[in-house]
Amino acid sequence: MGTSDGRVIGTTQFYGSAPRSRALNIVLLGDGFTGAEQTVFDKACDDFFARLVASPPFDGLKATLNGFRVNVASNGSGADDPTAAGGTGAVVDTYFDATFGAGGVRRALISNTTLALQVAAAQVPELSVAMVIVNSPVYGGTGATGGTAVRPATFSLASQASDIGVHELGHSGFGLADEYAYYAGPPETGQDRHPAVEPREPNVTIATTRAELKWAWAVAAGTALPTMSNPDTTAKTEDTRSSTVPAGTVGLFEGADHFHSGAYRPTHSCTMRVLATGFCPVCSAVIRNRLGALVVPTGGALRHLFTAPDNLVYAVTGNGDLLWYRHDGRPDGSFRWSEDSPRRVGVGWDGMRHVFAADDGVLYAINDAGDLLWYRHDGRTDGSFRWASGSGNKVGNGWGGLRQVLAGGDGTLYAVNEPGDLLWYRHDGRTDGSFRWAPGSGNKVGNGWSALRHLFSGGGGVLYGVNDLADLLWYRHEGRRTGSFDWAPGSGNTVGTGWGGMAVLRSGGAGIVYGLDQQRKLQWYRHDGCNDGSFRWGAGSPRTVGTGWGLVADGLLYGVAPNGDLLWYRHDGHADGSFRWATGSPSKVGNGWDGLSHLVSAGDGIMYGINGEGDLLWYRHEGRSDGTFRWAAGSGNKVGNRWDGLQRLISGKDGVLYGINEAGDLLWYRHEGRFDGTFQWAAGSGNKVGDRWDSLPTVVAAADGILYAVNTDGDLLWYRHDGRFDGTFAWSADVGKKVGSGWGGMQTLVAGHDGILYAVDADGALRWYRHDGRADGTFDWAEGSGSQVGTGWDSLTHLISGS
Amino acid sequence: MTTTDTPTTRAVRLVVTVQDGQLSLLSQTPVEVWTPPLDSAAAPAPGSYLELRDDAGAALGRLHVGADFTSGLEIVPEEPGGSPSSLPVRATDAFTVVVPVLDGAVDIVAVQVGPPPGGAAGPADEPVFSAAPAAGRVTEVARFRLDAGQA
Repeated sequence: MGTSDGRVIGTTQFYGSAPRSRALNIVLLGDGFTGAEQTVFDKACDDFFARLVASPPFDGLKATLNGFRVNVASNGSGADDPTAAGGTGAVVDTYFDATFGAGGVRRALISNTTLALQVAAAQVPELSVAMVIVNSPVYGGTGATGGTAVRPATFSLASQASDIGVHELGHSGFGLADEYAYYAGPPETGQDRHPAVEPREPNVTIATTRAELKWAWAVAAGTALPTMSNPDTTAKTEDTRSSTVPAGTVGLFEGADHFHSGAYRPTHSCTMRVLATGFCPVCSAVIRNRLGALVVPTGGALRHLFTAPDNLVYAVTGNGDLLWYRHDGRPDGSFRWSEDSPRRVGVGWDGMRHVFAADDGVLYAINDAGDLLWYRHDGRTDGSFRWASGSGNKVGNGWGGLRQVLAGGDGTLYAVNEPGDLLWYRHDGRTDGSFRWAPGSGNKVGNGWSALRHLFSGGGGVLYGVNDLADLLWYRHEGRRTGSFDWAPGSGNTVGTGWGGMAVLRSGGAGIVYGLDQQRKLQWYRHDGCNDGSFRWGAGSPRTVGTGWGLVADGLLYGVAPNGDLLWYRHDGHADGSFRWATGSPSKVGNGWDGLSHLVSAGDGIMYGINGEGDLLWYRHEGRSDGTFRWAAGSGNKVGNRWDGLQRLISGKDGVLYGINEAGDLLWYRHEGRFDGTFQWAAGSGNKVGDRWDSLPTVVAAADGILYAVNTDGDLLWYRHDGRFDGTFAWSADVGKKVGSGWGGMQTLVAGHDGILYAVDADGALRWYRHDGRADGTFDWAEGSGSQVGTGWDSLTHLISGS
Repeated sequence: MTTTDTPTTRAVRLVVTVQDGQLSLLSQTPVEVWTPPLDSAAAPAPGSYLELRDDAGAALGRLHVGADFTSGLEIVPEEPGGSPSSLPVRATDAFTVVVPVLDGAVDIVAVQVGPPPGGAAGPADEPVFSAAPAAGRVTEVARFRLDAGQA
């Protein structure tokens, strides 16, 4: 028996090309296949992988998968099948000693797992998962439960026997728990109520409230918690009812982790509960985060960029990696970075709406639910992957509705709310991540701050912001320790001009300012007047200290093809209007989009469309950084009704939508549920903020309340809606200014970020423009405006910007 | 962003057998792969772990390997498309893990962490949440010398 019953022929990588050191390496071993039957094993491997990579979320993660088959010739064909368990009595000499009937259950097909692991590890040292495929048509298979340790699964060639392999992949590959509510099944005792300890696995919980639930991010606001409770209050039996809520609803479903009650799973069904039903959104997110961590970071799009003390810069990449950099040239602005920059120090940060750093390694993040989360990066000195206990603790809620949030040093946080008030907070639990705040937290210490963009702290109470004229303004908050309304003389001073083109501004401390410009360059400045608010800058400012640091939203376009496919494009030449597009442009990221009569983008991957019933539907494209087919849970949610009364739908930023009705009125709306697709709207939504807008053939909205319109003469007109925050009828004094001519021949016009406009001309060419006078409506355009950056764009039925 | 790649972690692959509750290290092989971060919580949740420890015996990080070291056996449902179920634990088992070689690590210690004292062993009438949960009893099951030279 065992190794005397055959031989290892060799190993073939039959799927994938990812570096083995950064891939999910799945190793399939054959048993009971004779030398002449190896092609049967080869086909079984192909079939298994074909099913795996077609199943979400693996269908969008193929680049991280490698498949290896270890061909082993056994002396005999098939597997042992003892009569004691109802089998045929077959006894077969095979290399891994596969046998049905373990524990007296015929379908319990097992193999010599020790030998299988030894062979797999010897053949593919980087293995992530090992599975034994047995040459038998009899239905059977087993896996082994338990943590992230790899234990081989074994399954036969029978249809759907391999489903156990995918389930086991959930265990050993991703640390997922079983979601079924029993152990061996009835009759059994001891599985009635789950112990009162929160399980460590990400897909089971004993929590019953939103505040404590680890997958609260995936639960819609209107979903009841618990969502389904076991009606057997004695908990002697499991709840076998059908779902009482629509399929796919994420909530709390009682019965999980091998217990009938006291433990909950995220959805009614999932592959971790019922084989072959597909991974639920929570398990899918775990898988994506794990595999996303394997992708090598490259000089590409970022979601967030922020600085921290001690020369540190952090970035969140498009796939959610948190990267650590140390800029050794910070004091003098030289292009010197630590040799080991960047280092990956976190994963799964792509779900955060905002991330910023405070003192002593503390990072704060605001998630989609609006929770403020605390982290402390203990590996900050060397860029290692070490985090303090309690990292991820929730230390606040309701932070999602704030326009800007930043740290001011010594536990101080500042926030600008929707009306533009500057609020002061001091997090007294900053050292241990506890939910403790100083008295007076939430105090209003300023107003009118919504007029400033790129607000950042220079330390010592100094705040900087950029106004609509692109000036850099300086403030020093003297009341920073107590939250009082005291400001230093000179606060509001202009200390710089021409800062409007920056995508990001951050402080490096001691007057150092980093700016990410439109050429994706990281620029270094030293503000020598940082202490008194004077207009003094260090010699040599600015200096380029990094290149290729573009933000994820840059240059994104989506188009709907005539067949209804939604196509993703990234214009890498967006900064200068050059004809450069990301690899993969276009990529199909959706289908059936021709059923929408209107389609607009609100940035951050958020889109809205109106269907044939007049419903306003919400979507968020999670794969926007790389053009993959990934969408947020809840995409397609109905967030409004009777929107078909609008002639046109126009999307601004920060959740603002404009509509033009049949009377020509311009109506204002702000979608408060824009990050999670819930049906929540700001007060005043539907307000009339303009009239006779139907006389303008084309209207598009950009950031900061800017709207562009093309009139019947072909003039491009500029508007700024100063009432964009609260839906009031307030506009800048000089609205309707002409900033261009000859635009009447354009078939389509879309507004990108930072003044960029794309237009499809009469011949279908895509043309690029950048309006440098966007802040004040002057006739000022970037060099290269009008450049052709594409052809054939008139074939699309919709074209929207993703920025 | 600079163009340097994030280095993979120096790591070792362990193949461990479990027989009648006893752990034996079958092999320890250096391997160059990316590894997820280790658990460094002061009070880990109940379960079985492999801990990396330094000369002074301090835990530098740990890897969860299951509820206990001897796994249960899951079997396919009676009919395809149903839920799997479990069989009583088997006497012989094997598993493999990859552990990063942290600076200062000299030992790999297999530990079983019990439930925290005070009610955690009972059923879930009152869910237990805390930012700093109490530590459960830690029982050393086996200890292996990390062969850092190989790695």
